[in-house]
Amino acid sequence: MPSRQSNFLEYIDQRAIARFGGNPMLSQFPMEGSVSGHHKSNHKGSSVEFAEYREYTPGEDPKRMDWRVLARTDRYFLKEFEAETNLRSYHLLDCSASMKFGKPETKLEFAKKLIGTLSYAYLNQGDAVGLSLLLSSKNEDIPARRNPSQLQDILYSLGHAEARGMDQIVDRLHEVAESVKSRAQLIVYSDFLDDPKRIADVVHHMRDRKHEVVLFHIMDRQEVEFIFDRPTRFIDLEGGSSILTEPSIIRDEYLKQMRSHLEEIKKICAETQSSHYETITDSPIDEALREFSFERTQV
Amino acid sequence: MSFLQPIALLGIALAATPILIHLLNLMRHRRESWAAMMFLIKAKENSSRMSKIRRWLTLLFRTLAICALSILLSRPMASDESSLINFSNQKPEVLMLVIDRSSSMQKKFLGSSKTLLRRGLEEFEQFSKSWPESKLVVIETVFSETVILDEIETLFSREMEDFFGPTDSGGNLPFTINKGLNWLEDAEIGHVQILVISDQQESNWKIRENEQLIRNIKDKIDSKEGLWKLRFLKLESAEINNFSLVCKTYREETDKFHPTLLITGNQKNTQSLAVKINVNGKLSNLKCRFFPPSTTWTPAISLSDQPPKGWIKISLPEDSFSKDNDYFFTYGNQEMLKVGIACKDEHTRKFITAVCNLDPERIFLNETFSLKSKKLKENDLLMIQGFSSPEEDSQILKFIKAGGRVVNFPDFDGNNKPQTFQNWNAIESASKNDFFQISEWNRNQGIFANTANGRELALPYLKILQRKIPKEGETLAFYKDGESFFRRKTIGQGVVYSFSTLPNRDWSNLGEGFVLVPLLIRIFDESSESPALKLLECGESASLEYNELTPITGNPNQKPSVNAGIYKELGKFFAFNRKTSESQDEMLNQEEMKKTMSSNHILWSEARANSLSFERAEIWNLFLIIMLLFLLGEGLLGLPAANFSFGAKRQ
Repeated sequence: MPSRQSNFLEYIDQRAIARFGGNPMLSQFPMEGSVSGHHKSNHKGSSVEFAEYREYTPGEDPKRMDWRVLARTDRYFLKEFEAETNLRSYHLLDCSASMKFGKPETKLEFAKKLIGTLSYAYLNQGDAVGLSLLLSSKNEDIPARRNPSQLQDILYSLGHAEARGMDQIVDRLHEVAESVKSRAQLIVYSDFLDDPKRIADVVHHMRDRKHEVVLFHIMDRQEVEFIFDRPTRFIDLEGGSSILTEPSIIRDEYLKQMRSHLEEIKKICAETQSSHYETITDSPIDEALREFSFERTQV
Repeated sequence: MSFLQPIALLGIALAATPILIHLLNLMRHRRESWAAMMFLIKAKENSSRMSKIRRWLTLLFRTLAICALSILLSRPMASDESSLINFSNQKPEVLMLVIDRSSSMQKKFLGSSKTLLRRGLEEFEQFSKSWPESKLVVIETVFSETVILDEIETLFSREMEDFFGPTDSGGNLPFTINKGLNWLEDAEIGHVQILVISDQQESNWKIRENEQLIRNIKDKIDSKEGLWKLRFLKLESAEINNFSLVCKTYREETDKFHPTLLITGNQKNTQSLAVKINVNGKLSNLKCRFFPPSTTWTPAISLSDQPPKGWIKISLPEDSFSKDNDYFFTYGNQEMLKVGIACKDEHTRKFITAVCNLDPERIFLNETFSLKSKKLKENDLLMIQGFSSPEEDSQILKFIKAGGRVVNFPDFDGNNKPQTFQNWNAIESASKNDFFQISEWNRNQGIFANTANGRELALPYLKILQRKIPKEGETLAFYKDGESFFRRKTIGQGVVYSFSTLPNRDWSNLGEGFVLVPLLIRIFDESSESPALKLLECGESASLEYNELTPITGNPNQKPSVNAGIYKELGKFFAFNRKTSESQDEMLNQEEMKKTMSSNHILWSEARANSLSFERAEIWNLFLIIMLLFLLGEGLLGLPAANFSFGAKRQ
């Protein structure tokens, strides 16, 4: 794909980059990269980082045998080194109409800033970054690459992404899980307004494919607090159906439902060793990424 | 409850505002695009009944808070009614004040320098403030005439002192109240509040005498079913050191005047009182030894060097209530009592003649008198015994009706024919060893009263063999078997005294004189009391008739009906005194009266010492608290549920 000039540099939050740019953000699981990098690889062999001694099995390459050990002990041992490779990070953006909600900026716009900032950070540390826009009908993908022009492509794509149509995120994520062949980091940006069981299925699917799964759960403050002072007709952003109600009456029940949904998703993430980050659209980007960055720089 | 700014009550209509806003909000709701519809749908489905109750409670609290705000702005006043809000009590057409103007109302109110009367008027002024648009009507105990007031200040004006000011009279409250109720009935007044201010001295109620009247009052109030409300406000006087002076009787001699005075005091020590004697303006002092609680004192006041007709004022030393310290007399007005005797029984005639001759300076015995002479009016008193013809009876009746007095003894010959002025039972005879005996009589007042020094008449010593019971009149003395020994009957202006036995040995030992002599002397005294001579009392019907008399003080506002003192007309003096019964301290038994006049529409209360009884405090602060409580309740109901944290905190 030819590189394109983008005017969407505002998606890169400079404050966040300044805060987290010093240390590389490492994957929490071994990755399969094409070149050497900062991340643990699932392969072991000759490299610079010693890993372990292992007894030789006939048929293996005798070049990796440790002759000094053989001379001292008369036994055949292989010297194993841990490989370090680069990371392929896929940013999966939910573009359903529900992401259009939010003040002062929509959930979609907020997610774009997270993606732009993380993309910059990963590309800057030599990792490959890809983007998938999860639309209701299909996915629009930018494959993971590590060349610097990839940032321009991602920002351009983000700049033109719009939230519309029904929420089909679960189906789209299943497709992504299948389409990404080797181990990768899959970062999903969504409000996850779907059946928790279906979400659990797709997270399990992605984990089964050995991907590191990260969920950025993006909500607007009004959705979280649900404070309205008068009767309101709520119109569904995805379907057009509406409900007329007195918010103050159903607020408790609404919050209870929301809490329950959130607990379910947290539980799924805990079961699958996936990461779940709650973010609210009025938070600064560096704050929203603080926990994510902290966990990955301390590995 | 009433309101100083009732216009603000219109604000209660604003209580509908929260409901209207609620309905308008439902109609004019806002539209909101929403993402998290899945939670919303479930929340609406699961919205509990409690939430709905909470919403309606919130609405109710808002409504009540506005009501409380409106009420507090209208400046509510506390009500003395049992219920907090009594709408039937809002606007009486008439506020009627019944004033007890008796002399005792001049005493000082408990803990105050004001008189009971003044305090009572102030209470009514405060009472009337609750209904400023109602008509004010006043009736008082002296004249018992209703007076309509244009404004409440009239009660306190000097010009109206004759009607509402202090008096030396007594009072008959049931009579006055009843008269007030009659006026209301005649005027067809619908809604009335009646306030009776009184110290509730028993003598002003005359409960036995007014039993029927009291029942009438209760019935009238009850029949109005709450439209008329009668409130009795008792004004209690302060306990003060006081002496009071009343005269029991007096005796005139050529140059001496002997009043029998009863001095009563609430002091516990024996003391010497310096009593001032004023005879026709000439002052002198006499010492009187007072023994608590009361002393009977009979001074001899010299009239030598005094004109043949004049006046005397006896004054006790000044004390905290001086209204009852003075007593007024006149002398030289006394004329001889003309007594005619017409007795068939010789013993009776002889006995009566002898009694009349005891005081020849006072009693003129008309020995030539005969019933047939038709000149009965020449006499003041007739002594009659025995049968008289119908023509004579008719003459006697005329004589009585015109103000004459008759002492009537029974006929001894068994003639049971009734007289026009008395009926008789048949003659009864007692056995020799079992006489008719007298056991009960009115020892307190009347001709059977105890003597000034407290001794009883020797009625139990009478031995009566034969009797003939008079049927008509008030019985003043009873036989053991309840029959009447003596009756007093009033006919027109006159009185008939009827004995049931004769001063004849065949009938009784009445002729021994120990009972009959004092009785006849007392009858002579009573008969001598022509209006010019007797001790006149303020407020009595006689005093009303003599209202044109001139006081010797020259004060034109002084009237015999209300002010004690000496009055003069055509060289003749008249002494009017404070009502004797006003010196009695016995108070009405309120509990008993409450039972007698038991009604929901008759209220009994006592004037408060510290503040006016009808002074009603503003209670806006109560409604402020109520409003704040409602707002607090509304606030608590509207509190959001506990928030849970989601994601990064707002910076």
